[in-house]
This record gives sequence, structure tokens and C-alpha cells, in this order.
Amino acid sequence: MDTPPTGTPSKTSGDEPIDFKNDLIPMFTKLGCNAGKCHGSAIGRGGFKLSLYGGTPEADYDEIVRKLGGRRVNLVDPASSLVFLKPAEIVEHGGGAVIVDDDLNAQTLTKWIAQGARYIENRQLIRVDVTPNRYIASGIADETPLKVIAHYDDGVSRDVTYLTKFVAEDPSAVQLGSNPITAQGMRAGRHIIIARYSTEVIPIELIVPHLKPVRQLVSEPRHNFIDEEVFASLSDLRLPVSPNIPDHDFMRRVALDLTGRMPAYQRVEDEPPMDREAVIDGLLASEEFIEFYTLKFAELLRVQSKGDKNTVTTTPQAARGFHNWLAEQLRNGVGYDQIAREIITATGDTTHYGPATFYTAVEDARLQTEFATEVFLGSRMKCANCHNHPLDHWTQDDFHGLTAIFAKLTRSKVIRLNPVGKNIHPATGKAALMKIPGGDFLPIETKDGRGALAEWLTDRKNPYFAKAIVNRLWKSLMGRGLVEPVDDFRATNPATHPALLDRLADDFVQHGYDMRHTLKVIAMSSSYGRSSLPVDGNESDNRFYSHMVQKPLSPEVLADAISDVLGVASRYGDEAFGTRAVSLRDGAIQSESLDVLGRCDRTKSCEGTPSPIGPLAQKLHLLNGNLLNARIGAPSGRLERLIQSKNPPLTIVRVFYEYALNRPPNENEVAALKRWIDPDKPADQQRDALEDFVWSIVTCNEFITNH
Amino acid sequence: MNNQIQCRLVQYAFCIFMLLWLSGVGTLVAQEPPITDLVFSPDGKSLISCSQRGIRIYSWPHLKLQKEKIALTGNLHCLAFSPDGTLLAVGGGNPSDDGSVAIYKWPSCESQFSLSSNDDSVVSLGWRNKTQLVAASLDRSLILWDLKTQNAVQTFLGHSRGVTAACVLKSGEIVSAGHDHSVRVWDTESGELIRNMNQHSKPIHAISACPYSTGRPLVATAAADRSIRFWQPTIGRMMRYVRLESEPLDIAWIDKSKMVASCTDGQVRVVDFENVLVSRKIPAIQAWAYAISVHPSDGSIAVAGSNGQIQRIEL
Repeated sequence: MDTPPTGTPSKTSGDEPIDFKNDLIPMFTKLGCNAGKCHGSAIGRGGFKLSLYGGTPEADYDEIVRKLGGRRVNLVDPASSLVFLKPAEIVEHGGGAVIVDDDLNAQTLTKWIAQGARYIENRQLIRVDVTPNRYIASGIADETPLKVIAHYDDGVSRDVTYLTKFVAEDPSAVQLGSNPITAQGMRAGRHIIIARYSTEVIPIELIVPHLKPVRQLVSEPRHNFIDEEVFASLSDLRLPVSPNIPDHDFMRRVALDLTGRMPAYQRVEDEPPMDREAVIDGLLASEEFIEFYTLKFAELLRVQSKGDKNTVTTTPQAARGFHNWLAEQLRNGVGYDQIAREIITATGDTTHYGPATFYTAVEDARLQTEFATEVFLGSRMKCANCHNHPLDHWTQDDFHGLTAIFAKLTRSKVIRLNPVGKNIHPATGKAALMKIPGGDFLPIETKDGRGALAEWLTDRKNPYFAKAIVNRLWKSLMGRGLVEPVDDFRATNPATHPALLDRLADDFVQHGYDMRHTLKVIAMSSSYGRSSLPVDGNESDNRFYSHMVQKPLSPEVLADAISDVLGVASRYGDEAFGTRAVSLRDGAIQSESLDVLGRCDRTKSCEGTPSPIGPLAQKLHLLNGNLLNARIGAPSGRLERLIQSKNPPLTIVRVFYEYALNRPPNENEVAALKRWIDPDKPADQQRDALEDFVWSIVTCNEFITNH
Repeated sequence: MNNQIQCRLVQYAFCIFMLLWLSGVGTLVAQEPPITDLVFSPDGKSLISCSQRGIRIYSWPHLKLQKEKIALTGNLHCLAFSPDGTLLAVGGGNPSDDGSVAIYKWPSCESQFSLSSNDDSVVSLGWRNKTQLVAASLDRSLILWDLKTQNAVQTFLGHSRGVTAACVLKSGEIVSAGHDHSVRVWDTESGELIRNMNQHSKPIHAISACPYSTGRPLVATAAADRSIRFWQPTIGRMMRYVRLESEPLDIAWIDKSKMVASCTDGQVRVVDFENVLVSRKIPAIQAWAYAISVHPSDGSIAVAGSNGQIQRIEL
């Protein structure tokens, strides 16, 4: 079908009446009327409330045409309608003049009123195509026209570019032209533009390559499909890659990533090349892996004792029980789909059945919906509590339908069905019907909708479940999610490597939702083995894996690493002395050190990327706190033992380097340390210098990050 | 019997119109502005409506258009006869710009004068006596006008959003309600707020003082929270409330224990105040029924709303 040129008004056949849903609502969106900062806010503005981005056109029609005695439209004199006078600023309007009184928007609006201001939907929107949805520019000056075609259920397709709102995710990086509508990248990189027409939001990927000459990527080793996808992206962007790391660096990296522990130092210079696959297999089979990944899942599932007489309680026994259950699943290699099914459908006494504790982590069914969708779909659905999600396809019915499923449970020590439990849908004021998100309502006689929910969730065709978990596994090794934040999957937050995410998820499903398999595939890729040191031309890259992202050690791993290096164990709450932080089975166990290091408090999602000892309190704690100062020179500590054994200072230095950094000091470092720790100085001064050295090594960036 | 036949004819005509209207989706069919208020003439022989087209006077019970009059400019929202039935007040205005009250002689419809002091439309009127009239406006104010001097006697300020409804108690106090969800009682002489009642959870559309109560004054309010609440405003007490399936837009008393409500689903609901229940639902018009009025003597009601529809209903 012929379509008008980009940027011209869309045309309908003949004298079709103005279509309220397909013409007028997109126009309001384009003009910004129904944005969150204007009439689309939760309470509207100036007494006039529209649904956010036109998510509920029927309600908008009532608001515009029917409320207040219909005073906003004047059917006798359309040009006197308030809905026209305000945006044209003929009467005072807080939002200023958003239409000119004779422009196309004004004509459309007054024509619609003259036609009777009726709710007309000539056809149903099926889909929207944006051309291009991915564009690799030849350079900064390259400007590409954008075109949006809407397809409807009656076979009509039409150009709706004029009615589409385009927003650059980073306005400083993309310039949008208005007539015709074009996009131009202002600096090298990958930029996202969101096109919004009606209820559809479509991301447009604009890639502006770097102009510097790039090393030939063809010669780089490709170990598996991950490397194919990563290199394709790097090639588009003309980003050079950093070299691969030597075996001893790889050992430290992979051990920390898979077990949360520093490896024992080995003098690899004398060893044959490491069999990296064997190392990875060994780590994945270790008890330390189970311990570390149980901690990760315990944080994700907010496992901790909590509560008082006014709140939903998780007993310490229940928290430990859930932790132990998670560890057991990992130990037995249970598929993630099976783990999710058991958690979702759990019922019973939380003291005796760990997964039931999933339902005491939050206070009510609505929070349970937010929590469950963050965990299992990687999606923040809470916007849909109050209105259809403005940046995704979740509707208010999805949110409250899922909440209706969770509302059928009691939340106490024993999780059981509650036949009278209900969730009042705020839009209707009535009990919401149980519904699978994005799917069907459940039969009204359904007593427990969790079985259907678990089936849908773990269905091989579910577009979110596998992606959400492989994205988290990817982040745990690569430092940044393909979708970031990892709990914010949505249409307007596309993956940096969509094809890679698809392939990882497919591979995960094909291998029985086996997390160890996916971790191994990632760890075996050459992309994982890349140095964190940038080379000329990839310094600014922080998402395309041209070099490894430096990952701050998690608080538990850092606390354990400090204990290991200093040779002094920590005490956590009432746990036995020497218990490792990563093995704590209850997130509520008291520990000032872990709190200061920024451990997840497990009352909310902890999936933001923590900065490496960023906050001032953490730095002060490391400078002056007991975590280090009281332990560096402890009588039973490593430093004291080495001194008492009459080791020369440089030997002591070498030992700490090997424990902390998994390498010997290099020549420059040895030279500097020789100047600092003068062997001719008195013993007490040497001790002070050594203590300062140990302090500096456990606070340096090389130690507190996995790099 | 003739009345019933004519009523039937009006209903048939309405149905045919709706069928044409519905089948006309995709073609252009004229749309009438909504009727926003109705009032019966004191003798019950006429029904007066107002809309963006002005005032229309229909014969009752035949609903035959007798007279059409352009009144004020912009939107018309409310009508009220003076206690002695000699004057008809019409409220309205240009949205977000001005609000006025026009006074006409009845039954001649001769224009007397206009009272204009508001920054937004006047949407509700209540006569205090034959020379004083209170006008509620979306500019958040209530003004008590003296018709002899054509001056504002008192301005009542306190509502945080537009005032949508007002009535005057027999004891003289003014009761108002608005978009701020509140029902307020005002001292007419001093202009001071006496009581503020906040049980509604959404904007209030209508208020009606019960003309049949013999003890303490009784007032009903209808709101977007789908409730009708009954109050003893002079002591600040909410007595009871009824939750409806649909949002009530206007209410009117039938007798001391029953009232009727016109709703957004186009139905009329008969509400039993004593037993706090909806005793009857009557389909009336398509879409929103903005206005309802009880005939002074023949036991019927008039309902009007979207697309200029008017319906007579025998109770």
C-alpha cells in the first residue's frame, strides 16, 4: 500500500470520521498532554486527568467529553471548546501553547468536535513497524529519516510517523529532526530512540561507529556463540578489543566469580598452560560454588528473618530452611524451572518447608506481585498497579489479575489457601479476576491460580523467564547485564545484544534450565577472558565487552577475602567463629562490617550495581574501623605470624601479594616497597610500615574488584 | 392513557434514533450537546432543560418543544426556580474564564439581568428566599447574591477545588460540596465555615436537601465514589450511605424515605433511604444521565443527559 512521505500527516480513507483512539489519543501523546508530568500524572493536572500515554482511551473519552457536564467540548461551537482553548493557550494554560490555532493538530481536534466528539475506533491496531529499527550510521553527520507504519485488523496500513512521539534516551547523543522526522547520532556509540504510537513503544537502535582504525577482529579467537555475537557488535561499532588475560589472572577472575573466593596462588610460570575448561568444571562442582550461588539466590529471594506482631513474620528457622533448600537444589543440579515451580506453588509451614518462605518476604499480595515479577520475569510491573505500564505492555489487569492469584494465600508462619482472599481492582472497585500476565483470565471457579501461573512461567515459550535468569548469570560473570538493570526488562529498555540474549536463553532451555551449563558457556568464551585494561579506542566502552568490566567484590566476598588475607576470622551474630560471610543462612544476622560494606538488606531488590566502596561511611570504615585496623596487627594474624617467624620484609610483602592479588609484586612495586620498608630501620618502625602496606593492599582497587 | 401512548412514542422514537446512531458509526451523524439540568415549572406543566444550545421548554408530559432560548454564552449547567415560582435562574459560563447567573421572569422568559462575578462556570444554584440566591462555581467559590441590589452579599471561600453543588437548608445555612470530596456547611450571615465533612473519597457531583424531613435537616450527596451519602449537616453527622453499581450524577427526593439517582450507565436507581438499598433500577437513556427531576405532583420523573436525550419515566 502506498504511504505518504515521512513526516506528513497520516491519511485515512475518504471522509472517515476522526478516530478517537487511533488519531486523537496519539496526537495527545505526541503533544505531551498525557505525559506523567502533565495531565497523565496520577492525580492529573488542573483538575483534568488523562490516562498515562493514553493507556485507557475509554476513560480519556469520559474525561474529555463527558465529565463536568461535558463542558470541555462545545458541540455547538467547536472552537469554543475548552479542550481546544487550553492547548492553544487562548485561555490560560499551565503547559503553555502546545498547538497553534490553525495547525494540523488544531484542525484535527476541532474537526473531531464538529463531527460530534464521538468515541470512534475505525479499526484495531495490530502492530507498528518502525523503519529503520536499527541503523548503523556511516558517521556523526549521517542523518536517517524515521518512518512509522501502523497495521490494523481491517488490512489497512498507514503512515503514522506524524502521530508518533520520538524520544532519545540520551538527548545529548541524538538529534531528532522534526520536518521530516530524522535521527542523527551526535557521538559514537549505541543510542536508543523510543518511538511511541498509541499503546505501542518501539526502541530504535542507532549505532554510530568509532572512527579510529580498529584492530582486525577476524583474527580474534571465537570459542562459542557468545563470541560470535559480541564480535558482531564490536565490529559494527569499530571497537578494538583488549587482549586476553594470562592464566593466573583468569584463575583469580573465575574463582571469584564462581565461588566468591580468592584462589590459592600458583607459580604458573613453571606450569603448562592451564586447562581452563577443567578449572571451570572443578569450580562449578565445588561446595564453594553451591555456597556462593546460594547466597546470590538468597539475596534475590530476600531470604532473611524478620517481622514483629504487626508485620508478616519470617522466623530464623524459616529463613535458614529456605537457604538450606536453595543450597540443596543447587547441590542436586535441579533445573531452574523446577526451582521456580516449587517456589511459586509452595504451601505449608515455613519452618519445615523452605520455599513457602517466598510468601513471607513481603507484606501483601500486591507487593508479592512486584516481587515475583522482578524475580522470575526480570520485570518491574509495579507501574501497572495504578495504570497500564507506560513503558511496556503490562496492563493494570495484568497486575491486579496476578495479585488476585497471590491474594488467595494467607501470609503467616503457615502458608495456606485463603478462599475469601481477594484483590480490589482500583479501576473497577471490584474484586479483580485471576489472570496470567499478558494472557488469559483464569476460570472464575479457580481456587489456586499458582499452578497455572507456574506452568505459564516455566513454559519453554515464555519470553521472559529464561532470559531473566541467564541475564543475571551473565551479569554475575561479565559485570553488566545484557539488559541493565537486570530486573527491568521492558520494550523500552532493549538488550545491548538482543540476539545473544536469545541464544543464551535458548541454550539454557535446551540444556534443561541448567545454570551450571550457562555459567560454563559464558566462562569459556573468549569475551570472558578479556583483560579489564582498555586499549586505545575502547576506553569509553562500558557495555560491549571490548574489555572486561571491573566488578566490585560483593560485601560478603570482600569481608571473607579480607579475613583470608589477614588470617583473622570474623564473627557474625551468634554464628560460630570463623563462619564465612558467604555462608550465612540468614540475611538478618547482625554484622556491622557487612552493613558498612553495603550488604543487601533484602527488604527490597538489591540488583543495582554497587560502587566499589563508594559511600563515605564505607571508606571511613576501611580507614579507621575495626574491620581492618583491629585485625591487621592482631597477634594471631598473618602479619604477626610472619614477623615472629623472622621473615624479611620483602618476603612478607610477597606473601601478601600472593594472597591478596594472586601474583607476585612486579619490579616497580618491589623498588617502591624497598624504599618504604627500610630493613635498616628499627623493628617497631618496620612493623608500622608493614601494617601500612597490608592496609594499602586490602584497600587497593586491584584487591576490592574482580578485574 | 394518552400520556402513556405519547410516552411510548417518545421511547420508540428514541430507540429508532439510537439504532440509527449506532448503525451510523463510520458515518457522520449529528451529535447533540448533553442536557446538564432539568427543572419542572412550579405548575408542573412544563419541563425546562439547559445545555450548550441554551434553554428549552417542553410541555409535560408530552415533551413537545415549546420554546427555545439562548441564555448566557458558553455552557449552561444549572436551573432553579425561585420559591415563589416567578423567577428562573440559569447558571453557566465559559470554562476557565467566567461564570454567570441569568435571571428570567417566569413564565414569560423575559430576561431580567445577569449576575457575573466568577472566574469559572456556575454549576449549581440554590434559592435562600425569593430575593437571595447562592451560586456554586468551579472557581472554588460560593456567592450569595441579593437580587434586589444585584450585589454579592457574601462570598464563601474554603473549598480547595471547584464547588459542584449547593443547597440551602430551611434553617438558612448553605451546604456545599465539591471536587475536593468535602461537604461543607456555611453560616450565611457571617460567611464562616461551620462544618466540614470528608467521608466521600472522590469528587461530589450533586447535593439535595430533603424537602420532607421534619426534624433535623437531611441532605443527600452523590459522588464519583459511587456512593450516595445521607447527612444531618447541622450536627455534622453522616447517617448512612448506599453504594451503587454506577456513578450517580444527579439525585432528587421522591418522598421522605426514597430518592432517585441518575447514573453514568444511563439508568435511574431508586434508593431506599430507610433501608439503605437500591430498590429498583430503571433503564432511562443511553450513556450518561446528568439530570433528574421529580414532577411536583404526578409521580413521574424526567431524566436527561448525553446527546440531548430526555426521558419521562412513570414511577
